[in-house]
Amino acid sequence: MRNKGEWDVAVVGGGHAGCEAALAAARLGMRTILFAINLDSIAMMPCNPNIGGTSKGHLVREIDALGGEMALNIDHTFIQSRMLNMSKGPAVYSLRAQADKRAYSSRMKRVLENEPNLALKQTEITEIEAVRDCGGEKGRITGVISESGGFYACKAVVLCTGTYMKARCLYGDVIVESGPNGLRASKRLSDSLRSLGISLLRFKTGTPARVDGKTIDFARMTVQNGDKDIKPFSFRTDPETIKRPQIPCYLTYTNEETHSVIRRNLDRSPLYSGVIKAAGARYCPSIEDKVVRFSDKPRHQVFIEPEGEDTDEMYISGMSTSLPEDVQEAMYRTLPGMEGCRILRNGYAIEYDCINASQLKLSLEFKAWSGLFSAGQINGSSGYEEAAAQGLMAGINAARLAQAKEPVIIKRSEGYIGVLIDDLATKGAAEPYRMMTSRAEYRLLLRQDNADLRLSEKGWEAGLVSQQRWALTQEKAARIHEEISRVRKVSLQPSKSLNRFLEENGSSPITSGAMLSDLIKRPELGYRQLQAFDELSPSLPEDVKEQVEILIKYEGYIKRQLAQVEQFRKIESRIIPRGLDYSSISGLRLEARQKLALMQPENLGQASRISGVTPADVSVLIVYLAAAYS
Amino acid sequence: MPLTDTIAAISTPLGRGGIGIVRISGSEALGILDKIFIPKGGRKPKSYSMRYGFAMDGQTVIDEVLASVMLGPNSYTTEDVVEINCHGGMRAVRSVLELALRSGARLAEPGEFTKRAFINGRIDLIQVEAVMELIDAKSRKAEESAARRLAGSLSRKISSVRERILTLQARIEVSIDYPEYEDEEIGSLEVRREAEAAMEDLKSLIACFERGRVFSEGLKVVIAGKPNVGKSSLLNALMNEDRAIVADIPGTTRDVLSEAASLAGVPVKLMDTAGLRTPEDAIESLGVGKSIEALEDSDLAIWVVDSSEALSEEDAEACAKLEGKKVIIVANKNDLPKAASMDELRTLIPEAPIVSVCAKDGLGLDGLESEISKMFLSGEAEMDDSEIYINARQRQSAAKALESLEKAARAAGEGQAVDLISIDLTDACDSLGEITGETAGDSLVDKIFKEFCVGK
Repeated sequence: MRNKGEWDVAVVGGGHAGCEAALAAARLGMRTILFAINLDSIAMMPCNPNIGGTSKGHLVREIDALGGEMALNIDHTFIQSRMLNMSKGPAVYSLRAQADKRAYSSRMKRVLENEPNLALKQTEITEIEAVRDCGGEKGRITGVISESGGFYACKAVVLCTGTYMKARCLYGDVIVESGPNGLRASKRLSDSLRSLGISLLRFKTGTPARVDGKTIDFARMTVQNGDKDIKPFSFRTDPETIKRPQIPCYLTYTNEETHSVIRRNLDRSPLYSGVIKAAGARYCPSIEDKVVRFSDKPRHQVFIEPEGEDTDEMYISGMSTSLPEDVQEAMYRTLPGMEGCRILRNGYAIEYDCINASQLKLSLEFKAWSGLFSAGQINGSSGYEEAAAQGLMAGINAARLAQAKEPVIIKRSEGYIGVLIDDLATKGAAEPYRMMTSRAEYRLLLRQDNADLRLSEKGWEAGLVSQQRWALTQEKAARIHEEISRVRKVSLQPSKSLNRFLEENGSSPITSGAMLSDLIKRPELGYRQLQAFDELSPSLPEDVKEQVEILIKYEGYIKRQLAQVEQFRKIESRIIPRGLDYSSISGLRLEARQKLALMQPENLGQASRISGVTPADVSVLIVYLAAAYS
Repeated sequence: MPLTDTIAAISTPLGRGGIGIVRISGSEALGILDKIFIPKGGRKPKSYSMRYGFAMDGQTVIDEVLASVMLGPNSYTTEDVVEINCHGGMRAVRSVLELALRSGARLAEPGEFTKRAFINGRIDLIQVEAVMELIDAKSRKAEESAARRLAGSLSRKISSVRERILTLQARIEVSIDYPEYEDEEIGSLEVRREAEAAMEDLKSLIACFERGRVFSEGLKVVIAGKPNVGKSSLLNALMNEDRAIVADIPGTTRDVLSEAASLAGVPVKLMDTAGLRTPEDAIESLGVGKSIEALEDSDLAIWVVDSSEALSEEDAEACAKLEGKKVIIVANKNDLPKAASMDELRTLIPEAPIVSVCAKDGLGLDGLESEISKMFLSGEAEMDDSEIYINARQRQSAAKALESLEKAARAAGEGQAVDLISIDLTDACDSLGEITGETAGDSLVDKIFKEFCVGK
């Protein structure tokens, strides 16, 4: 074993989690090294060619507010941008951008290269070195060993191995022992993890074929254009600087013929023949799954999305598959506009080793191994944004561990990142975990528009957000507050012009003075529209107006969620003493005892979210803790 | 550990029946029995058997008793449990309890046996509540219902309403989380329709609860009316005894008198109130205030008028206070010539039945009982077996759920965004979950994936 130097933080893997982890640690002053099996695959997007969407867009904004890179990277490399869900309520507006995959990847690589404290190294990490305490079950990380026998001593390791550990790709009867996109798999690292006593799971996901755009007749599909007004992901990006011509996507549908091709060949799919045993995601079903499980649906939507600006490759969203090559060809050719299509890359399913994330603390450090962190798909999540969010937090906390500081934890009431990590660490994942707005209890508070107001302070405290940026955010908050107080005092008198305006907007006219805030609350009206009738209305930046409008308009609902958060904080603040002997609490059901003993929750709130722990069990715990510690 | 001490209490209601039972639970229960009980013939009781003998305070015999032993973990609390059945009336029961306390037991808090059963894993929360009600059930019907709840019929009915709301919510969530899937879009009209349908389900369930409550808690009935129409006489007649002071002086009753009675087989809490009129002094004013409070809290108002006099301003004043209440009009003093116009009475509260009585002689009361029975038991003396009774906390949760559904339906009607409506639906589900012990969380996400075809 050759000594390859001493490092503060070593990051294993250069995907979306690895990039954020390495940048965060390096930016916090840590001597950081990032290992990738192939440096050309830095920030690669092996599946869908977009960033954001519902709840994922929220994650990207939160990453930005905390000082991460993903938002800036997509702002500079998008080829189409849309704000989704505009009619469904402000908390679920969701920004989604189509990415130029190559541009996205090379810009991120350049950012890594430019980071002073960060070294990049193309090699496979095959082993984790650790010293055990006397018991042997727990211990501390000392470094990592590469395929060539190099030993990199470090204080903390962040595992971001994505879908590479013991990966194999399958379609039809073809089985290739490789990672995504033909990249080499990591063959030995998961055995090293197992020897540390870490329990592993086997998950499966999949991707559709890429088709040559020259062989598609787009005229027979519905075109889907980007928004005229482009909102950037990053609070730091000036919208004026990222204007560009956008590239459209297309919508088409499967039909009975498609379904019958699939049904006839089901027995040739490794999913149905029993070759694939790993757990797949319900929210990301293959087209064969959709046809079988929802057999009464006459058609399914299919989105044709460009993979970049300088390529004809098109991603066939909605039709991921592991059917044999000939069936894939026949199936895609049944779609209107794709009768003569040529497949450039086959769709495939991929199986990989990941860990059971319930072995992690909320800091993403392993409970049993000090200094060992993990982030991204290795934790059982799926999606670029989920990976990046975890990578950022693991990077911050690895750096803080190296500096002997307390970890930074985002609570469920503070951000989607908090919901994501709490879900993974508290419940573990039985299938690949996707972020969804429905997983967030307080989503009206966790909007994508206020991620900066929610999280900049944490980013600043952690050291990733500059003093200047934090000051700007505080100033914004103050202006919002000031304007809301002013508006609350304004009353409008009935006038011809006001009442004409109200009637034109389908709103009932006023006969006596009305509070401006009450008018703003009417569903058909808003703060911006009524500014013309508010004589003292100051000129404010758009982002301030947006907050004023939302906070006044939805005041009632927001207050209710704030009250719920108060409740949540109460139960969350009831700490469970470390090492509590659950087997002695006889009121708990056996399953609850076992789960609690295994998970060792940090507080009552976390205990209540463990699967297999019922509300009655929590009541028993409350009574027990009150009796035993009063 | 606080849970391992031994507790004792009298486990039969005080003052009822000739036998009183002292129950002792905990690790010292058998030791205490040894100290205070001498079995006849010297043989100690085995688990799940009874022995005849004497409760002894040193050398003094206190009572002849039956002692039974139930060894843990097969007892109600899962601890060792001893029960001593005393025959000598309340004084003997109290003495035996004191004896047990002196011998090392601690006096149990109310419900502590059940709490121990709960903490020791013998029963769950809903069962705890059902047991509490069993102990407290005031009528046989409610007792049967409490027994059924243990088998889970309550949970099932609530769950089905909750399931309906959850389905609606899942549809909203899918439309939010998968905006690109046009098949899964849901409009506010449909949301409103579904929310209203769930409201109907819940309302009929709550109506069942309401009837159940009448049996388990008793119907709160306020006797109201202007002064000196015979309200207190009516109370006395219904009670068959003189509890209220009756005098011909208006304003005699200054406070709210409350008595338990049984009318038409329904347990009733009767409340006699000060006459509803503009008070003439400070004390009467207090009395009138209390009357109005009692009225607000009541299930039924019996409005008493004097049929021997023409209706007056004061009658109308009293009547105005009854707005929004279920009312039965009692035309009292029917032994005297009739002067009040029944037609006029009818127009004052059109939906209220009118019963003619003579409270002084107790005549016409059966008519009143049958109206009460009609109003609260739908005319049936026996209720359907599937009726459900729930306790106050659970009823409150159901009412909260209904309120949330109303908000959701209203917001949908105003064209509010579906995301905001989902907040009310979540509240409704949570409130119903409080009754059954189910929590939303994963069940919603599971539903989304199970029932909707979405995903890349």
